[in-house]
Amino acid sequence: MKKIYFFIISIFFILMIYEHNFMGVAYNPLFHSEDGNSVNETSMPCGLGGAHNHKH
Amino acid sequence: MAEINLQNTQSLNIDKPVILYGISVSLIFSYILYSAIGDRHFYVFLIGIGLGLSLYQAAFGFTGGWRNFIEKRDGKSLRAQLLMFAIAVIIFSYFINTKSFFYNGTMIGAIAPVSISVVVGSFIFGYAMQLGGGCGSGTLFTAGSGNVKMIITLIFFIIGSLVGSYHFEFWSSLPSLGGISLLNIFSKTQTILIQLSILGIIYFLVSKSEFNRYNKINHRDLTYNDSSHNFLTGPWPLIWGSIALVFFNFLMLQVAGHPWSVTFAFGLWGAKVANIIGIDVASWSYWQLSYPSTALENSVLADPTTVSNIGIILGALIASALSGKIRKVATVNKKLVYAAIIGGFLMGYGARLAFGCNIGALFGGIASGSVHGWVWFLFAFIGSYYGVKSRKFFY
Repeated sequence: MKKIYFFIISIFFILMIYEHNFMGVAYNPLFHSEDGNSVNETSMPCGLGGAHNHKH
Repeated sequence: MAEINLQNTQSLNIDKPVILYGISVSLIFSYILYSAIGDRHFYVFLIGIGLGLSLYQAAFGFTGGWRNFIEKRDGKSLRAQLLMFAIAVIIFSYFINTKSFFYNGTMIGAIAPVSISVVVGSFIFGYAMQLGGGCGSGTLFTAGSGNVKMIITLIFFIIGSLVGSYHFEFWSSLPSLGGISLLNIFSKTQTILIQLSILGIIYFLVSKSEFNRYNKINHRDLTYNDSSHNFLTGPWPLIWGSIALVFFNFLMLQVAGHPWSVTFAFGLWGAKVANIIGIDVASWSYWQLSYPSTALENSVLADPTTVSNIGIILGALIASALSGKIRKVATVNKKLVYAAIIGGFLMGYGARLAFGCNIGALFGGIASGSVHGWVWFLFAFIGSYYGVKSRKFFY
């Protein structure tokens, strides 16, 4: 069972790295940029925005 | 008085190959994050490892703590959580909406709507976490520490999050009061006093309930562990876990710009897999929102919640190897598999409706002064009550 466990999590880590190599990162997208013009300025990972743009 | 042993590790059954594996994988991710994405993602990864170590060593689980109180009126873990919220409220209230120490920008709170979807989602999540055997953070750190059943829970957590994102348009169309931030209504000091008062009342009620059952209560039980504890190999007293989680959540706020969150990444991983098998996830309204659409278009490692989740898994793996408790054989019977499947799926679905789990919505929400965090707490606890009742069919 321990071998199965390590096989599964190793596959998980490999897929993460493979996907990264496949997709790449055009820019540092989900953080504030220095000029404050990024997605994170108004967003939380909940997807609906942060304190500045909650208009639900 | 508990024995604190920082030196005597020779007699412990440390699993060196697993530690070597955990450190090697951590170094590979550190290199990729630092060189290919950015230093802040690298720091988020390190914070994730710290969170994983802390969660494992303090055995800091919301699910078991709530269950112990519901079943046995044992409020020890619940009181540790309330103290953690109190410390976080004091610190976060002063730093939310201010400039970060790490970058030139403003840190935001975990503010989400007070809505029908939060009520339903948190109830479902609270119910399901008792079946699945772990909450958002609990699923991650137990899956990282060798628990095969929790890997099943995690897989169905991911599927549930994806389905929740598909139904998100419907749920978000239901009545909502919008996001309510106490920090936008009251001063920082007033927000702290209001939230500490509520937490104090809950702490009192929990303690009173515990006292009524056992005719005694020892508030110092949070500061020691039944066995002798070691900083490196654990187990830690609960209060160490409370302080460590606030500390790392605060670092997350400073580095990522928002409080620690977990479950967004699960939906993202599910969406990536769905894309591979030909499902047009990008056409769903949830994945057209600004943050999710950006995350979907980029590498998963560009998403800070993914990065911190990987760190948590590796941190818990290293911690369990340090303690010599990495599970050698985890017998998983058919009923437990059913519980993991149902619990995992419903947790994922509920978390998507409720704008997060016990970390992003509850911990982050209350620390940020968001009313949705309190709504989440109430309805998740009610859900947990019924979840505990349902456990007898599986456990």
